Amino acid sequence: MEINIKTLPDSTVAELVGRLDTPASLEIAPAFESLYEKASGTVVIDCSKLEYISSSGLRLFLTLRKSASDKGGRVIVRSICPEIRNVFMMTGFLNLFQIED
Amino acid sequence: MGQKEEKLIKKFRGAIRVRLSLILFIVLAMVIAAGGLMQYFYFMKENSDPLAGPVFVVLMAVSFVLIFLLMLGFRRNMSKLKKIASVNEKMERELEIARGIQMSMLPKTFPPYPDRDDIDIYACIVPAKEVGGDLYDFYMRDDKMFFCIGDVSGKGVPASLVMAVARSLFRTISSHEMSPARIVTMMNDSMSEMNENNMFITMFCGVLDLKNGHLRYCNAGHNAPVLLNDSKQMLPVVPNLPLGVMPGMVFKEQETDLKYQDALFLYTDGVTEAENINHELFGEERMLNAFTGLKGSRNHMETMVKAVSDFVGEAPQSDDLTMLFIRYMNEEKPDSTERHLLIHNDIQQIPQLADFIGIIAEEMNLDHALSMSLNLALEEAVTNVIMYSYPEGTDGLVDIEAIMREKSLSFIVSDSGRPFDPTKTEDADITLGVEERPVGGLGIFLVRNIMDTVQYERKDGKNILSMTKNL
Repeated sequence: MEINIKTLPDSTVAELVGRLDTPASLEIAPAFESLYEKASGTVVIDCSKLEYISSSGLRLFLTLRKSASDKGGRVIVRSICPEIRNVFMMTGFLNLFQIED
Repeated sequence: MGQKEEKLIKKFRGAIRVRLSLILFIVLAMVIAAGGLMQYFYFMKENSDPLAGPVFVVLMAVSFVLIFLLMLGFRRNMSKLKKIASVNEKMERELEIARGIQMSMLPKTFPPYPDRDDIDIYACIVPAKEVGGDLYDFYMRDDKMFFCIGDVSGKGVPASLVMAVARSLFRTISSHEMSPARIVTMMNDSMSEMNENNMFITMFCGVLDLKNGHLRYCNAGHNAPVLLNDSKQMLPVVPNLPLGVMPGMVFKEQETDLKYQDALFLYTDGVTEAENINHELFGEERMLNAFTGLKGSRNHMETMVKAVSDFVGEAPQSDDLTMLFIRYMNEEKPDSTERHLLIHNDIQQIPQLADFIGIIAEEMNLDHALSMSLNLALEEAVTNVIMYSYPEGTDGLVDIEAIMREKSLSFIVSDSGRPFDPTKTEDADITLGVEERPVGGLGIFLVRNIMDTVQYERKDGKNILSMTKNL
């Protein structure tokens, strides 16, 4: 599992690569938490290379979303595959995040 | 018999030999001395020496005393010899009894299940010495055949004691465990703890489900069995370590499916390493070649025994010879097959679930979306066990069974941790907004949403979570 964070002029883009299962979530948690500081602006999570997500990964997303809500920023989830979109739908996450193709 | 006892008896025999030769030497010396004295006495008598009479009396008296002492010594030595002979005899008798006890631990009535036509099994053991360290065992529980074959390092009495321990551990542990890897793992923990003499045992343990031919097995450093199906080959085995080497090891389990008339031949290295007079080994190739055509287990066994004994010829039997032949004879087409996975209560083992689901998806021809959902449900269930059933720092195992049927797939996740019913936790409320939405509680919610039925039960000290997806 990889997380690549890029800071652009108007946003921060975090690209997730691989399978975000329970051990992978623990592994990338520190890097992911660094995004909370950027949550006053726009944070884009690029999921085009994300193959799988479990509840521990969803928790990371939700915590970031709460942080953005506190700080007045926004979180955009970009390019999720149909399988992960299905998980987002099941858990009501589609309503919580701004989803982009 | 142990080397120590043999040494002791040798020492005794040596001492007796020294004594007897000493007595012989004294008798010879006395005969020579007596001859000389008699000549001297005649010389005195011929010269009418007045001392001739008293000297004769003294000589006679001394002779009697000496003869008496000699006889006494001889008697004592004889009784010692007799004693050793009787000790020897007693030990041999006891070894024979020990062998009787040892053999009585192994099932030897064949066919063992005359009422069943779904299994054909035969076994034999030929110890090289009076008692040996080889064992085999099998028995039936819940329509499953539990079996093992093993070989203790070393020979004689010490090996036979370890063998007896291993056999009773096998019976005790397998009476409440279905997984060969768990049986072997627990046996290893138990045998490693009390292993001061560094004895170890190689073992192959299997559980054959007679309803569907599913075979689960675990190999602990033993020779790979022969699988006789459409062809003949060695069953693929992960070697693992023998039992008793190191506690806390987790043994890898493997599985396969036997079809009607497929057979498994298990053996100890006494077979492959049987030596002929030129010190050549029987070897795997000769063993494989000895299997010709489809025969009953007894027939196969007798062919193998003959092949080994023809090869060995006049050479003495160097090791125990133990064989177990199991043939699956259920003709009915199974309505389900199973796959198993055993992991440690360690989050880092979670990725193994993806591989496990991959195998199942391939066998059942499931599409990518469905297999990902199933992976997710299984991961959530297993993560729950790792996080909540086992308190942090405790060592435990999670047993995952997949039952594949034509129109459904079930997972059964079981563990021996503290009672924990995940179905009792409240569902996440997905209608809440960002601020109100709690971070946790998604795991079991996902399981419930993906699977069609989810049931929990606590049974025999285990948490058992069963979930089924209709296909």
